[in-house]
Amino acid sequence: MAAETKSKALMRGNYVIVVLAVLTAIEFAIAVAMTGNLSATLLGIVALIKAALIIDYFMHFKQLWTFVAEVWYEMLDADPDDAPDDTRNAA
Amino acid sequence: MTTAVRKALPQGLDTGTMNRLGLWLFLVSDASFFLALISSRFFVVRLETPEDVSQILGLGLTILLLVSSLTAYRAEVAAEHGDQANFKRYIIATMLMGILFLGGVGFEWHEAYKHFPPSTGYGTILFTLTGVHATHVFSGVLLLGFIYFKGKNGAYGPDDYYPVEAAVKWWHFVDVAWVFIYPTLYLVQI
Repeated sequence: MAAETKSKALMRGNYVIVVLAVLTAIEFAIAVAMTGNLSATLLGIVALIKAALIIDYFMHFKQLWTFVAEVWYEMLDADPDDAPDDTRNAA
Repeated sequence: MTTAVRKALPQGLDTGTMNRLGLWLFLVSDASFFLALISSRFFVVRLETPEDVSQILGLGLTILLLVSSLTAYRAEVAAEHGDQANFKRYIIATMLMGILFLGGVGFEWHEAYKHFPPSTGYGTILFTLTGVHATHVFSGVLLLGFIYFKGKNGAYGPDDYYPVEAAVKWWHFVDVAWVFIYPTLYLVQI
């Protein structure tokens, strides 16, 4: 999010909340219109979409992969000779 | 021990990366707790939902929490861009909505106790799920309050706003949990 302009970030938040509101209305309509397993399945799908929107746009889920990649590459690049003696002699 | 662990880590990794990874790990582990509780609903009462469940209250609580996620997001954007006034404004708005949500859950409990007390199957599920979730919301309000008091004099800026990001992430997590709790408790019907 760091390189993003403020107005662009705020606008994105507005778009997400509008989509969440529409999905909540759809959720309510599903509950009113149908019952049973089909209703439960559709409600589960809508909830998953809502959660994905929040996790991706509000919680910046994409950054997680950057961090994982960063840790992974750092571990690959790590020189074994730099490891402290106490960890190598622990066994 | 902390020093030993830190020494064992690759030296190029900064604290921010490790903090963020640790937070995500914690959120995933907490999500599994909610997943277990939500799934218990379908084992205990299957798709049965009493008619006395207040749909208006359920919808109201959902709208409140979704809007609070937007204000929390705006607080984070403000902190990231050094906008101190909006940071304070949106953190307070988020906290107020959290307190209102807790009040709504309290009212729900008052009403629920008359129609489906904790001794009934549905009552067990409702009181457990909303109770655990409300505890998370309460901790979120406390965390945001801490962030507000620490940051009101400009402690967080564009280069150092991780505490705000972490508190807001926690708030979004609480919102995501409710996204699944709402249909599970209120909308699913046989």
